[in-house]
Amino acid sequence: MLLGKKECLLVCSALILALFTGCESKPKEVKVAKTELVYASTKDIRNINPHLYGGEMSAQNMVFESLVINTPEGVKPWLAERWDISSDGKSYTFYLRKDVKFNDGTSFDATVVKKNIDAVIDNRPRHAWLELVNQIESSELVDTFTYKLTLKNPYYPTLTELAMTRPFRFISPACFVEGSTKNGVSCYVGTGVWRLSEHEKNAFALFKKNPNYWGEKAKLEQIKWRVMPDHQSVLLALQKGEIDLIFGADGDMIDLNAFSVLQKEGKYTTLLSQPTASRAILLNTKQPITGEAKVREALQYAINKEMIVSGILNHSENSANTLFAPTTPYCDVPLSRKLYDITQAKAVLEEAGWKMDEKLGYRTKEGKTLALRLYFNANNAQEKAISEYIQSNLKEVGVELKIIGEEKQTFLDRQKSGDFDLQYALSWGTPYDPQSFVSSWRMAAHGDYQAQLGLEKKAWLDAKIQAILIEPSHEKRGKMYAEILSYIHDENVYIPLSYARTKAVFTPHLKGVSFNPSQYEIPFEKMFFE
Amino acid sequence: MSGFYAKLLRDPLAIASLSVIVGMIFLGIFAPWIAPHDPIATNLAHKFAPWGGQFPLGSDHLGRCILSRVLFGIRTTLFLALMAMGITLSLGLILGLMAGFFRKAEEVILRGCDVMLSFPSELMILAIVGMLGAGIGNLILANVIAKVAWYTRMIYSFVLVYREQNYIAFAKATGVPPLRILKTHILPSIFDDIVMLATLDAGWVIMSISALSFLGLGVQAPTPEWGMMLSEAKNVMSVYPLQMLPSGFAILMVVLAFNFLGDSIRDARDAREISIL
Repeated sequence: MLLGKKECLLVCSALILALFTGCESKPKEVKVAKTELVYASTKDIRNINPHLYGGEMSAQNMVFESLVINTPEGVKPWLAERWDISSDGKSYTFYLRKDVKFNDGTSFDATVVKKNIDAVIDNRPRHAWLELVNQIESSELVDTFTYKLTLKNPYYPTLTELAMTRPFRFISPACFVEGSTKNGVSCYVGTGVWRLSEHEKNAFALFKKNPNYWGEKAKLEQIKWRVMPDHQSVLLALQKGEIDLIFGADGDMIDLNAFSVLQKEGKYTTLLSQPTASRAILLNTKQPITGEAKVREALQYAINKEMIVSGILNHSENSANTLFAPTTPYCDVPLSRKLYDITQAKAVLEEAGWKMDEKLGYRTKEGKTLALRLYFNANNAQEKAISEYIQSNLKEVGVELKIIGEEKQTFLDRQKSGDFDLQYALSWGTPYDPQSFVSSWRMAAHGDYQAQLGLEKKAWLDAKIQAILIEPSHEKRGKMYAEILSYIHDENVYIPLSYARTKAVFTPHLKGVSFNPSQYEIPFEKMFFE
Repeated sequence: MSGFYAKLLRDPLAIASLSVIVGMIFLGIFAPWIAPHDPIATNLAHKFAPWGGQFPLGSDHLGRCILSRVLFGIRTTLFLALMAMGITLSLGLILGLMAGFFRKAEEVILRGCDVMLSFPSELMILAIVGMLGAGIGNLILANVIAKVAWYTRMIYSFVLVYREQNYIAFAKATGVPPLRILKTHILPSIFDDIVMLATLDAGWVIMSISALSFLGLGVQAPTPEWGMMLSEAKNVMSVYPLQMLPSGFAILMVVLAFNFLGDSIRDARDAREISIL
């Protein structure tokens, strides 16, 4: 027998009472000088094997180090003290530091370097996006602390790519499983500033300071990486003082509206990095409607990116006119600016034969409605807001845009199949732009490749990209980059929106927060409490 | 029969609930005339406007009028829920009557129901939407598939009560065709059971539609929908908490109204024959 109304009321009120008693504040802990930083992320660190792509990059960067590093001033020595490049640009000799030890006591020498790089090459298909892996011809031991890498061609971004967060980082040979790393590793021992001491899946990960670090040691004792899947709970945790830092790039860590309010309130310190990556909309040239050059051109004029930057991104990013920012290497190419111009957009569509159907509210041609599909990752609130705004922009010029939020995996699969008209394209930012991003345009698994398939000169484009990457002359490379960037720009494959920045929000006691060139890394080692 | 309705009409909670539901339906039908703004017109210069003034309940993250969106949301949330329920009910009714009345169909249908009922309905809905993709059509389909087994079983159990009654046996013996027995003898007898079932379940369907849209798997933008509005408001919960109120309150009111009405109907029926449930 179910409860009667009176009993129901009674139970309800008891429940409500219980709910509110739960809110009673707990006694505050006595404050001591803090040596632990609590960082909240929406994602778990997962498997941080440095030679694979399953883990969080910022965690991989804490534990594992590379031969050289990327800095705003260019590539600098790191685990390698110095290097020589042969005159033909094909072989690199690295002279390693002699005072580096892994956390398990193993010393870091050329044998370890060779083992690690061989393990990466052993899994070549998985790393195909990174051209360097395809270019490596041989990897040899010169003496205990000298290592030589020989390439097939004078591949110019070699040092930049060796410095990336993955895969060319070093893990202790003791962690190898059956002599390789591609099927997993037995431990996560690196040479880095931090060592992973505890990890509870989807709850937290604890990184302790490496006391025997060869370089400048971390200022904090430990970093606690807490997993909070929802960014509102992250924000509330910050307000309650449970966490000290929120750090992230692509709208998945902090909502921009919340960021602006926090910035105005001034209770927390907020920081924005230099523009790193490009935010753009990818137009699929292989689909029937977006395959028309005129339609793509009209879309360039129809989207009000100034309003997206001011209204949705709250001026935290700058609007973009070209796919790559002119500050990106080789990308300062004079290209035409395509600004928001609704009359122009209508004129171009009219010219292409898409006539307005007043009854329908949309344009039609030969009985077909001008309807496009834009897919986005349903978990990314920012992408959704931008999509909705673009939808209303396009409606004004008579284009029906269906926006479909999908679960992340479905969304990624769709990139591979090319079954979309419009799609988000977020470049990887420095140091990946432009070379690694452009290089990935040749990979069938990337949305960019699928979307460019309809281009008349796609084969030329791919060949050109291949040629750029192994062109030894800086001037010639510049000219070739200009060619491909102008082609992509004139064909309107991308609608550039803005240049994204990394954001950080933290308690005012925390000092030394800065950004690495890569948006995927967090320089925890420089942070300390006052 | 008349006693049941008279009892229901004497219950103030039932009347209040009914007026909320009917009121909402009217607001939904006349939304284009009542709403102060176009619910999908964006106006980024006025995003997160406070309550009062140009936007009575403020504006959302794209500067759209929240009041207008809530009003138009009735059309999606409430009407979709009623539609989904209508389809489920009709299917469940057909299957339930068949299972209850025709001995040959009984086993097949009931064992089928057992299979369906062994999955939690939420899981089943997520699986179906995951396979077919998001969207209004698939959302309704998922709700129907997930719930039809439960309706079939309930209606089957209502039919069982009457199946062995003497007048049914008499009708059968005198050669009245089965369809006619179902139509004139059984259906009227179980009618108010079905009404109760539907009302009790309506709240659940609304929640399910809103929940899927909240997760971004249901109704797609820019169509205003309460669950989706709630999810959008959630993203700014800590900085603009008022954003959550209108859509959250609308869902609360409608679901509460349906649940209270269902309760009242059950109470009114209980007095008549306690034995059924």
